[in-house]
Amino acid sequence: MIHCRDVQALLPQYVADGQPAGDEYAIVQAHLHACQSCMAVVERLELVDAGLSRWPMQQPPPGLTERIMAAIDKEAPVEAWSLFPRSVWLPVLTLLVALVLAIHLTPSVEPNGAALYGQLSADPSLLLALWIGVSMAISGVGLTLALVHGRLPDEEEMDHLRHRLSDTAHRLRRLAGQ
Amino acid sequence: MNDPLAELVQRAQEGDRVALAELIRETQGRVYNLAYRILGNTQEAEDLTQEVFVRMWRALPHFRGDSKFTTWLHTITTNACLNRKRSLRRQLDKQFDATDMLEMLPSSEKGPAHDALIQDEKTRLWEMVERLPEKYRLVLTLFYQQQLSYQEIAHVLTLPLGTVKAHLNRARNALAASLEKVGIR
Ligand SMILES: [Zn+2]
Repeated sequence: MIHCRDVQALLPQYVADGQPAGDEYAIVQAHLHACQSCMAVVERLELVDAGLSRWPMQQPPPGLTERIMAAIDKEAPVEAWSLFPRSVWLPVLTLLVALVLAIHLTPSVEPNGAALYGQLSADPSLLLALWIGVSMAISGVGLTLALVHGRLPDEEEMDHLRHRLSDTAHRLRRLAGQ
Repeated sequence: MNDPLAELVQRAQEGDRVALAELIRETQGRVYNLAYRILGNTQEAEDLTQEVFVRMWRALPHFRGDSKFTTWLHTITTNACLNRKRSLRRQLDKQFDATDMLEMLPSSEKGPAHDALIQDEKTRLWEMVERLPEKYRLVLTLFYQQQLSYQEIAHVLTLPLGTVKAHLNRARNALAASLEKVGIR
């Protein structure tokens, strides 16, 4: 003998599914034939289901589409995706400049090099120290720029990134499929 | 996937402004109503609707039609609602909640339920829906008003199918119990 409480636990789905026949509902149906209080629950659930199915949609306020379009127009155009955004290429460039300076323009102790740097060339180790200093300063500028441009992405940018990753995965899968 | 909006979506993706406006006009009612059900305030619902469509527009180039456009839009909308109502996400994830059934039953004092008695039957039902905890309002709206399938709701809310059905059944039960308590049948 099935308990009313167990039957009533099944009733919302039973009513929402349109009181389906079938073995799993045979016990429920048999119980409903015999039990008035469970049948009353079915009737109330039917009332709820029918009422909710006629749920009216509220009319959105007039002019909403125009306001949405205006909000979209106000948005800055989304920056096109690039392999090297400014936050990447600017520090890279300064670091490269520093590297080139350090490697190629280091004053040599050869005669013409010495002439180029005048007096200072009298002491090559001083010049070397100076150039190392300049290179390090430029590298520092590069790193600072990288840190200034580097910030934590907000939620939308993370969404964007996820989209981009899934898009790339999608393209790769398609490529692999071909 | 047979999506009646597919053509508009494609034209909007190609940068057709007229198609974009048409797409928004076709779908703003759903977004607005869902937002209104959850936020319970017309001004907030309009703000959220604008926010949702700006997000939709930004993400549109990445929409590939794996799901129906409206399902995708519902996902953006519910995420925006859940962002505003942080506690709603936690409520949704809880399948069994002993306390919220008590909240759902109309009180015996003279309150909205009492006032509801003198209104017609249909209005009474909406009153009762308004009084449900928001997670039940959300799933009821998605199922009955926005006419999403159980599967689609599970997808939109990233919940297991069983949890979606459990939430809906508890809400149906609570409404049926409320009907009994205010004396309808
Ligand atoms: Zn019974």
